[in-house]
Amino acid sequence: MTTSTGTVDPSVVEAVRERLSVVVGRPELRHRKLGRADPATIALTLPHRVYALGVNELAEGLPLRRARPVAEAFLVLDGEAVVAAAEVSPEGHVTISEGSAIDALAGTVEQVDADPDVGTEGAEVRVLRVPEVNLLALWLHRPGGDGDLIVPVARPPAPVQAGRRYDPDELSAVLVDVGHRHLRPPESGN
Amino acid sequence: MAGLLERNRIPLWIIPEKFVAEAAHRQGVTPDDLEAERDGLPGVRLRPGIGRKVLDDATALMVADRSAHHVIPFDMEDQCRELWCYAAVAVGLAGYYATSGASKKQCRVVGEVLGAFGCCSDGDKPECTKVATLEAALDNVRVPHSAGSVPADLAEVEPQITALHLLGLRVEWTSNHMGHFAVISGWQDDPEPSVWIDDPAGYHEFVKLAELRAGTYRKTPCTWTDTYLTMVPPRRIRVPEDVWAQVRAESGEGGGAR
Repeated sequence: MTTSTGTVDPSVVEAVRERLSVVVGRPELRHRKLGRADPATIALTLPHRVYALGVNELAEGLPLRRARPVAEAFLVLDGEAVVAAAEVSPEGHVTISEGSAIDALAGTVEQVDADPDVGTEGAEVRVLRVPEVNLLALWLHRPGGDGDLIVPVARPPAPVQAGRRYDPDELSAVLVDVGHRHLRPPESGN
Repeated sequence: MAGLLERNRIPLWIIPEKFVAEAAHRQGVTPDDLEAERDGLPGVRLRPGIGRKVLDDATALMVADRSAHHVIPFDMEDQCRELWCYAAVAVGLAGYYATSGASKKQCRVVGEVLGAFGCCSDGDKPECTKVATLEAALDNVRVPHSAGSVPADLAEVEPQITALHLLGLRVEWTSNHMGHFAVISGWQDDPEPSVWIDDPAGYHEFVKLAELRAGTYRKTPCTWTDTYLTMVPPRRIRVPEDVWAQVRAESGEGGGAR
């Protein structure tokens, strides 16, 4: 199948389907959106790749275009509502996630989509994620068009601003300081 | 639903067809009711009123076919600041166990653990934006804990969850050797061992244990460095001094204060 985000490998969809069948509609998971979701109305949307950079690479100012793809991913719909995300690693491990971070990502997608100044037609949707610094961002890759656009999602590391549209080079420059701040000794947690 | 989400929608049928067929048969659906395709998906044309019943029955068959999830309905609050995962986890666990530290907010835990003043009025000031250990934060909110195996396996997770005890974990990111804390709140072993992780960065995740044990969390290289077995704090029982003296006197130990 083909979408504006590229061709989706049916085996990846099948891996996600199999994993979702283990969690959706389970009565013991009623405290989670996936547990309350209706198995008959589950669908996937927005197939995308998740890209990552290491903190040391942020500190070195490595351009974001050098970020590595680490997973194939989707948002999970229950009817019309985004309830979760599903990611498949190159090794075939599927992780299903829900929570405020996923809600915020879905909100950012809708925000960008509703913005008349942002052209999403033909754009490849990506997600940039650096868990070490709590960075999650929507990335519109628009080769040959208006240029790439990155929009950080809720509670990014300061001074990165959630909801603001960044040019990749601009964000990369801001993340140099963030990277340095997070190159610290071990024996602790963030 | 917005354009991007609608344009990229991928139909998915997660209820195994055999269960739909079995449920339909039980509901008296005949071969005449069947059609080969529906929106590109295999399906059945169902008489009004019977479709929902078939799907509900099929869902019940699907649920019964898989092992149950063993989960504690735990609500992790998101960390309020970039480096406060230790405080968010500690506050979450204190609330779950209703310890004497359960009323503390993250900023207070941070201030007390770091020995910093004013973290609740300005959590961004340098003395409040420091990392700390989970042990210190758990001690601060009076959550008893002990060290578990690293990395833990299902044999260690299972009895903890059965006893309604949550597990803390610390992963150390490979790229910067800094740690991150989260909570294991459940498990499931079909078709392979998996755990539910509540992460203060805003995620409730269903993760394969093998992936975590092999050194990947959120598709990011890391090492599982610590496991924290938490438990219900001992309850303090208050006995009035005169009652205590009376019991002792009646047992022949004599009265008097301790």
